[in-house]
Amino acid sequence: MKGEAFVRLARVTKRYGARTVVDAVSLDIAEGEIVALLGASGCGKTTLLRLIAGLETPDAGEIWIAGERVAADGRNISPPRARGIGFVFQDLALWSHLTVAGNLDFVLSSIGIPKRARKMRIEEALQMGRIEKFADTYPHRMSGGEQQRAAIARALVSHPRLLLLDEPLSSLDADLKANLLAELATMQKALNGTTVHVTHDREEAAAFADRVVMMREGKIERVETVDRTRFANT
Amino acid sequence: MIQQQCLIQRLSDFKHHRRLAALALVLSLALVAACTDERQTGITTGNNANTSGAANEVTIYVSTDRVFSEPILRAYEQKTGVRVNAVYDTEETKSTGLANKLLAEKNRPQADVFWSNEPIRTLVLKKNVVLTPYDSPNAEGIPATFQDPENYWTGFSARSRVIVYNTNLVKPEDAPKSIFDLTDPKLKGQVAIADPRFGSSSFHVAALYAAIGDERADEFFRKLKANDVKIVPGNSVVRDMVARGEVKVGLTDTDDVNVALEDSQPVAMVFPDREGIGVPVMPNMVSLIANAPHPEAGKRLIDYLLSPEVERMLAQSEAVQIPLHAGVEGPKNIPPLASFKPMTLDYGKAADRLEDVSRRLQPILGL
Amino acid sequence: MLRLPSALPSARAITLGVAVALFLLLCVLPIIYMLGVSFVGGDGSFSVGNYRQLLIDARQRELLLTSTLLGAGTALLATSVGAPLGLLLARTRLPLKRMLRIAFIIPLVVPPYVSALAWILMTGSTGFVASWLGCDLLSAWTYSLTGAIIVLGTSFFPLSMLATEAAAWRVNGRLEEAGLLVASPGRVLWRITLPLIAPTVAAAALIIFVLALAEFGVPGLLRVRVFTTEVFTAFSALYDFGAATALAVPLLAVALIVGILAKLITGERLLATRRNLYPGLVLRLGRWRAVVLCFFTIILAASVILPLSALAIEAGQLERIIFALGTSGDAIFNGLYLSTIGATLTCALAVLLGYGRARSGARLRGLVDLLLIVIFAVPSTVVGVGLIGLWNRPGLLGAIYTSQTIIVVAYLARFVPVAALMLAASVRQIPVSVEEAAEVGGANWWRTFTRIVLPQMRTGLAAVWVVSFIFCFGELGATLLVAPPGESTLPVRVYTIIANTPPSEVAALALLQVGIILIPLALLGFFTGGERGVR
Repeated sequence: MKGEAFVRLARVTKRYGARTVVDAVSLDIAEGEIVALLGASGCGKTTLLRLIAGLETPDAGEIWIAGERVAADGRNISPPRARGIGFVFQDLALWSHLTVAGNLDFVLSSIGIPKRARKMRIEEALQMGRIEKFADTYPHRMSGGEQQRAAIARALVSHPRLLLLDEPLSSLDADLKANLLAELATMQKALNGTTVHVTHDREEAAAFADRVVMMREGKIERVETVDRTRFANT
Repeated sequence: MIQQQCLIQRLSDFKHHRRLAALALVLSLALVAACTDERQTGITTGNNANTSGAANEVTIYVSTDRVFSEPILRAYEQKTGVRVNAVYDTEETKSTGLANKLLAEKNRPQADVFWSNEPIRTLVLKKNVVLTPYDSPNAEGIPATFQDPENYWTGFSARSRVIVYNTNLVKPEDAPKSIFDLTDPKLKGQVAIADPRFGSSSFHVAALYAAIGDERADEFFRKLKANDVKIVPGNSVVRDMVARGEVKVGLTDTDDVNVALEDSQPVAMVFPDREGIGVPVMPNMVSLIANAPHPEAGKRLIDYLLSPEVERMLAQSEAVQIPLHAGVEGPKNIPPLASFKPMTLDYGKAADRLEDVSRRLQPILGL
Repeated sequence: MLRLPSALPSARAITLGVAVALFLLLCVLPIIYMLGVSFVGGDGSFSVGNYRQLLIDARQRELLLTSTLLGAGTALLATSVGAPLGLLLARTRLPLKRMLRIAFIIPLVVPPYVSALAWILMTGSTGFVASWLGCDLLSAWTYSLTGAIIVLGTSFFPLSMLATEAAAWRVNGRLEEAGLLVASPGRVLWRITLPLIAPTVAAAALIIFVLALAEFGVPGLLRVRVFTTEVFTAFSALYDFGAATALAVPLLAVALIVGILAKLITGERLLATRRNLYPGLVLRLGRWRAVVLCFFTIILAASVILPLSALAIEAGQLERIIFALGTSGDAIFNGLYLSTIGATLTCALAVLLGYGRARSGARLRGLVDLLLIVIFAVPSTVVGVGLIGLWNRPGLLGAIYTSQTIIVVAYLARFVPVAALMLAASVRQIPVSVEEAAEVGGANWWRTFTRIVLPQMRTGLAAVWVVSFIFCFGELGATLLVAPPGESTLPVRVYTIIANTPPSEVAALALLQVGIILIPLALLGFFTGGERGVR
């Protein structure tokens, strides 16, 4: 682990009514690291991801990103847009009224990239996802796999410091999934981006992550470091 | 009972879908309501044409205002035990009237009798072969002007078109005495009339064209338009505008003004053109429907409506209608029929002008 | 393994087939009948005489322009008031939201004609404002196209509000969250949420356009000459069914053109959205709170408090209302239960049609939408006369015609198209996969439909039911023509009574009518208006 943690969770707690979904979770994630959150559905892993993103407000505990305290004392200090996050949702959440290029453009214009630079960035992201020919296509005209790529391209186009993946590949078949994950890992390593990947699939977690965090009933049960060399050739 | 229990069971299943539960509740209420209705319709289906043999009921379509006509029909029920199924009309400018229902039902009539509050619609129905002749014994004593020589209709209890004015704004001696006074520039923007394509207003203009000829009538309406006349939907609207003082004078019907008088509004009426072209008198008209489901019962109802007794009731009610039978006491504040000259002597001729006059007036009045 | 195609049609095909057949029978056939009548000449042979006269004089063209302006102005005003209200109801934390929602539905419940009367009482040349100020400032403005637009706009904005709120609920919260990760809430609202709900808002605006186009009572009272009066004149002054139907055709053409324009502007957007428990975007009012409260107060004052107060003052003593209530028992009962049945059947048929429409190809879907809006634009009198022509026959049809069932038939004929349009958006948003999943799981189609599809669209369904109920309860044009002898519905009673009564009694009856329809709505609102989600 390299020096100061890029993401630091300190006794983060989230309750819905009487139910504690995330129970005093503490975790440090280093810059450039890929961490998988693994567990059965309902274990709190998605909620933890949404807490990091700022889409949920923690009831207790602190969240730090890149040395900045973004949530504490039961409230979010920085809104999601100030956290520099790329997020791929489980249902992808592509904006259906915009083309693929339009989806990416909205992200870039929102973070204040001037018009001329945006065009290049969009092309670059589409190339990375190998979906250049879908630039002017509406999401619902694309296949499932193409939509996944578009969602990933949208999450990466802003060059986020932190990429959060909420089981975005769960509906893909095994081959396609493995391919996409390998590509994603390469891209993230190239950009030195930090990644948190939520999944319920142990294989998928191990194939992609540097570390696997196993969650159960809102708590971290175990943390395993993956021996990357084992997978170097696959 | 069992079904209801099932329903309750279902409802409790839906506890977490309160929205659906409420919907189901409303539905079941509707069903219950529908069941209770079953009983009601059990009685009312008697108005079906199939049961024409049963002469203890009669169906009448009434365009005379419900507040005036309903008590008359109730009295008939009480007197004879015959059930009267009535359909009432709305003010013509607010919805399409009963004449259209009668025309549409022509091939399979549901009504036995049509009671109209003015001549035009009856004559339209006569022209369209909706009516059948009936010479009621009670028509005796009603002046010939108010009877169809072919007996398709008989007039009774008349109203008149009148000039209504606001007594706060106009002194009685300054009130217009003739409709031609309404073009006086002193009344610019201060005159309201009901849309002359509908109801009694349409009768008035058709009668006017028949009485004074097209050129003079066109000229009169052009001047009226130049005087910034307000054309409104309905005679009651005219009366209300005058009563509120939005305009000083208007053209409306006797019964409309009387309602305002009973309500102590600052209005008064003038019977126009008592000298000159004559007062626009409008009798009620009653007719038998051709191929009516209960023709005999219909004839008895017509006899009743043409009786002096009904004329008396209508004269004494808020409708203040002028009796046509000699010897029936007329309403207070309304001059008796014998005291003035009616404008129209041939209602058929006036009615024939209706369509033509409506089309003529549209460009003249900017309708 | 492949299942062999069954020789019998599937339950789905039968159900949808029956629904389409009913739709054709109830809604389309009366109109075709009337169109047929319009092509019959005076001598009984085929003739286009009724159409030869159309729009050849400048007067009629001007009337049609006024009608179009009235429709467009009303749709614009109603949407600019209703859509923000709907969004605020869906996406902000507000106290007394349930009460507010019901209060904002009141204007839809007040018959537009009565609203116009109330406005005249307030701003006419001798109205409250004039007598209070001592001079008349507002009457020229009341008796104008602007006045008519304001009266109708304040009457119809609840439709836009309900549609917008329902649409806002349907937007997939993840789509907004994805926006919030990079953009401010305001930007997400403008660039993500609003475009996503725009088709629904536009559909509501189109419906309002058609409603305003069909109105002749309000323009008549405010002395605005509109084309719709021509149709009405052909019936009421000339008694010419064929000419009347022909005169309705330009109105239908306007509705069609505006419908096509709306489609072109909003496009056919497939909303890959699903209903989430919680919305992604919650608007925090912060310092805008005061502005929003101001907005609410102004709308509530202009559309509810002032008109109803004007009526209450005019009505005077309470005993008038109590008297009116006492003598209207049967009419109230009939009105309530017929509208309940009418609204429920309307929704049932509309759901199936909306479902069939949503599951058909894009081109067919576009055509169906246009057909629905054009049918809805057919004047109620044309529908009523058409129904008489079709149903007043010997045998079973005649038995229905002479019973109160015909009133429900009239409700269906008038309102199934608009309900189907309003529901279309809800059905479209249920992914086919949901059904496929259920079907693969072995459930039959009917079960899937009632257990999976319907519950998913219950918000939209509830809103459409309420609107249908209000429409049915207030229906007059067709009801008056088809209602059998004997006591009919409350509006028919009110309108047959108000012909000659003083304005005070009209006001009392109008208040009564508003009160009667509000009671079940308020109850329903309290049972069903459960606050989902704005955490």
